[in-house]
Amino acid sequence: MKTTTSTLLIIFSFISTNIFAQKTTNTSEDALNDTSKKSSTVIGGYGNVFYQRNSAQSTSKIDLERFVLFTGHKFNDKISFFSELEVEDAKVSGGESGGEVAIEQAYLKFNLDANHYITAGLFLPRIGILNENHLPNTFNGNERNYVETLILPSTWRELGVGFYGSLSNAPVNYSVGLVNGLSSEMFEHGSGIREGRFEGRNATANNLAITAAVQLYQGDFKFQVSGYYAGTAGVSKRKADSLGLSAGTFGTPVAIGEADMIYAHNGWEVRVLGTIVSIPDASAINRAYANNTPQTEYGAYAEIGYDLLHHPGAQNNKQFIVFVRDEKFNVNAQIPSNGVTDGTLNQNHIVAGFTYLPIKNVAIKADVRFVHTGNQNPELIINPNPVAQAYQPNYNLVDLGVALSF
Amino acid sequence: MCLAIGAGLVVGSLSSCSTLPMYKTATEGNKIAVPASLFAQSNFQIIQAKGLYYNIGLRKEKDNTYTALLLRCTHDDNQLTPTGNGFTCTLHGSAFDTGGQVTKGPAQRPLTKYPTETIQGNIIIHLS
Repeated sequence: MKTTTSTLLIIFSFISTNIFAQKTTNTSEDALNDTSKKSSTVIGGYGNVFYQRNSAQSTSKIDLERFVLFTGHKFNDKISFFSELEVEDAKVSGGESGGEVAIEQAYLKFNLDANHYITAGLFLPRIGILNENHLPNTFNGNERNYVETLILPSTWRELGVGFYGSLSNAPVNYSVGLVNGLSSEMFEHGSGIREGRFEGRNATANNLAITAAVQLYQGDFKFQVSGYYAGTAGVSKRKADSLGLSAGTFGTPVAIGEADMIYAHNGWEVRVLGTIVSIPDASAINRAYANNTPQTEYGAYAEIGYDLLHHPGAQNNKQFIVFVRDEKFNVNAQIPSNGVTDGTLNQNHIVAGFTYLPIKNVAIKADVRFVHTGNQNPELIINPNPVAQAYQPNYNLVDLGVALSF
Repeated sequence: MCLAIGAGLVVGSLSSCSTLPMYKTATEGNKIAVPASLFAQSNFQIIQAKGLYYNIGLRKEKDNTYTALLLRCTHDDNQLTPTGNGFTCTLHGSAFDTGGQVTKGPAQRPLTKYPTETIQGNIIIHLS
């Protein structure tokens, strides 16, 4: 396979050629601000690069973590298309591990009226804060918070249809989605349900997932509650029976509940989120696939930030936000009798740093993440390396990076 | 526990949730007429005008002038949701203050603002 960079250049050239040939495309702002046009094409994107120093291993790395191009096309006032093409870690090469090229979103949006629309295709269900709104210049810290990475596996997209609405007489949004389910066969020890996502690639469709969310805006507060319920055994009934799993649409289920709140006022912003994942048939999954699936996972975080450049009543494009965040999560809070508890998956992180935005779309970030984990379980060390460094339950990560979106 | 607290907060807020005043009308030519009397109780109205795809947020300012903003996100064309301190877009999280200025990206440009004038008890919004 050619390098991803070459592929992207070709794709980008193709898009650009078509766009400019039609003379319909501008920047995302220009195209959509022109009300005289019934159709328009939009390009945009986001990305981030950061340096990280790991105190436990005395190692450092620097990585173009994400580079995403999004393209959208508005056919008319009723129908539009939106897509994101993502490259992680800058490069994917044949035979080498690491890196990822993925379609992060690709869906048609059908506007029913000003307050209701339907999406169809590969889209991001409304779960948590980051899954829908994950542009790196809109959150603090170089890394996304770990609760919305390991417990809620953002960026989480699946294939299906979604219905989104807003009440016309109250600041309330709601959404319901029907998407493909998960694969319990792909669950991996240590990452919860994350590896069980299909993300648009050959998803089993015998099993499905339903997700719903309600958002309420009240004064300077935004509240959200969301839920998710999915089947994880997409194999045939015959195979499921032989594996001792429940087949069917919602067989061998995963249930997720989530609630979050954002408060923003006078330069202050507070974010609080809590979530819990339940896998009641974890024992059966372990018996079938031996992947040490937990019965319960949970996570929560609270963050407070203040913009030092905020002046009430004054327009200022620059922001200098100092913040601190406390993250607590346990990827194996409850383990079935045939599982093994891994203390290292019970973690508490304190993250502190700053985000400087010279303009709203560009961020310069610095932060330090103090990591505290439980102890390693010797039963999980099957072939100990005699020269391996002893596990360190306390260490820190120092991050420095830049991010942008447009 | 966090879930219970979160759910409690939302339920508590919903019970005291103030509704958004909505005025339904129609465009006439390139104008929309809104009775000024609507602002006797509130300084903000959502205007839903037949013939205009997006709602308009109409706010009475302290100097008795009116600010009319098209509630269309300048990033990706989505209808905006009024909040207590401005407007927000659910698609990518862009946020705007009550004057239509961007407070959070990815949107870069302020909301479209329409000129207004008051004639014989009606606020006329010019969709120029």
